[in-house]
Amino acid sequence: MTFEGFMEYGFLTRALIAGILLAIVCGLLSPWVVLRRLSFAADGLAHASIGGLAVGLVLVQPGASPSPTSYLVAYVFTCLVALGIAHLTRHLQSDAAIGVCYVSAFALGVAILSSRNRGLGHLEHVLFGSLLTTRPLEILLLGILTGLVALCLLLDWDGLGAWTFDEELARAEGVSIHRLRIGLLMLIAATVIVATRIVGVLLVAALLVLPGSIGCLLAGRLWTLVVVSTGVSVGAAITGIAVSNRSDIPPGPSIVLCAFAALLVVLASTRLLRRFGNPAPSAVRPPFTPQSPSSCPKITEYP
Amino acid sequence: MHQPDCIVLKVTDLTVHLGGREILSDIDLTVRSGEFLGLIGPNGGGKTTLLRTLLGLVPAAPGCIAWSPGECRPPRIGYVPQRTQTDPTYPLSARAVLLQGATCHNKGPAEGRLAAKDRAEDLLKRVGLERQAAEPFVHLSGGQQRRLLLARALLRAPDALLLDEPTTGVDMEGQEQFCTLLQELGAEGITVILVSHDLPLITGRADRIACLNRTLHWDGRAKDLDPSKVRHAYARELTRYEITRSDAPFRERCQ
Repeated sequence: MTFEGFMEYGFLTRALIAGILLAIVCGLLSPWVVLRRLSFAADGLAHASIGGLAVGLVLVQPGASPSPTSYLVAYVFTCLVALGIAHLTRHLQSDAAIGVCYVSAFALGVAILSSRNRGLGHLEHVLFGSLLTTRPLEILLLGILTGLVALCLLLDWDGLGAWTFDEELARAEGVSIHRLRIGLLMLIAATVIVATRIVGVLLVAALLVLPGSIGCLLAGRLWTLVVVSTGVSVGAAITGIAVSNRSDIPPGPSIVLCAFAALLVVLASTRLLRRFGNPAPSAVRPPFTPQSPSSCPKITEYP
Repeated sequence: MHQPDCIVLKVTDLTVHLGGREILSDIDLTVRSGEFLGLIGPNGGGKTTLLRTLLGLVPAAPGCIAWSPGECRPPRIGYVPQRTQTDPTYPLSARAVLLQGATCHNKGPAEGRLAAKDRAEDLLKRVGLERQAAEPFVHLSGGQQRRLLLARALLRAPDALLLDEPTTGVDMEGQEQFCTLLQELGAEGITVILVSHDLPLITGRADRIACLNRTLHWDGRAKDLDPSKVRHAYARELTRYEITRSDAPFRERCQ
């Protein structure tokens, strides 16, 4: 199908716009998720969102598709899980805290969906999403989320940069780490809630990890890292949707596989460059600076 | 910058508890502007905890710590940690890590940031890392990383510098250059508080020595250092780990 033909279908156009917007959001968040080692937390929140969506979808506002109220309930639920993770991390290892919270929320979601005869069929929708059934509501939410994420990054860019380098040093330099951690988890929670409908909870975590990982292999500055991550994410979304359009592969897995293929290409390229490229300039030690004898350390006996 | 010889830091009756344990007790310490204070003591003596308390990372009772008492402006404090918790795959270059130190505090106009970039280049030269500036931070050696962190701390134009064992694992040449740089900073009016286990180095370079093991065992000029007091502070540590010896073979004692 040509591009013009593609754009003739409203649902395909909406899918493309939603895919690109989601890719921008994930591309902007991914570097911080990777650098702060929050990949498992992002995956956990994605799974926990099933509990929130189940509560919103079945208990609050029954219906075939999530309404704005359902999304809001699901978001509040996922944020509570994020706060629970942040609280439990003080008492348990962070991976154990994430595991405890997300498994419990996931189990709650499965229990609710099963008890209301919205069992495996509906669960499959939540797990793998359905990009082609994207509605204007999801596009609106993704647009708002894109603006919100970009604004938060601009406002807290310096603090986030310091936090990714070293948490204690950042605290000593006056950065409010607690606020940044909670804020980032809230943004991840909002992303997974909106993305669940589009690519599913199993695949949104991949979109939050893969672009940032590729950026880390290519960039030496934070802003280039974010630009590379976002570019890769958008490229994978467009390519994935195009591949999906020409094959039987659903759009979600297709997007993730394209991002993974990009990671493999970058990994192979960097290894080849390292092998056949020039040696790093740091291999050359700076010249020895002779010191006067009087400035040498005074050697005294240990007391 | 503070006036010479004015008091930069006054610690009064400081006691710190962590996890229900008393880590520091009854610490009284006064540090003057431009002074180079060497903080020594055995492992577990509370040196790092004292630094972290001074930085506000560990809670202390109100009124125990007064930075620049009597002055309107709180001092700018630079910190060089013992080690960073940076991921081995952290991709940012040494220059980018250095500039983070400036951008964290410079919320002003773009000219301020440009000035910080110029200053960062000067500092890279001063710590001898201009050639490694484009390299990823994690590719630098331990000594180079500490020098870069020192440059990052200096980027804030600090009134006081707190350094936690910055010369650990650094070769003699590196230690020498590092301490020379610290002495130069002291001459420029920057107060330096340096934690170190290297007694010969620190006693040869610092103006004052404070020996800490839970409480202060010695606080005075480096040249007046009383070895018996320091030995006593370290001996307390050794008795904590005293091993019960027995002439009987291990197997017999187990039976």
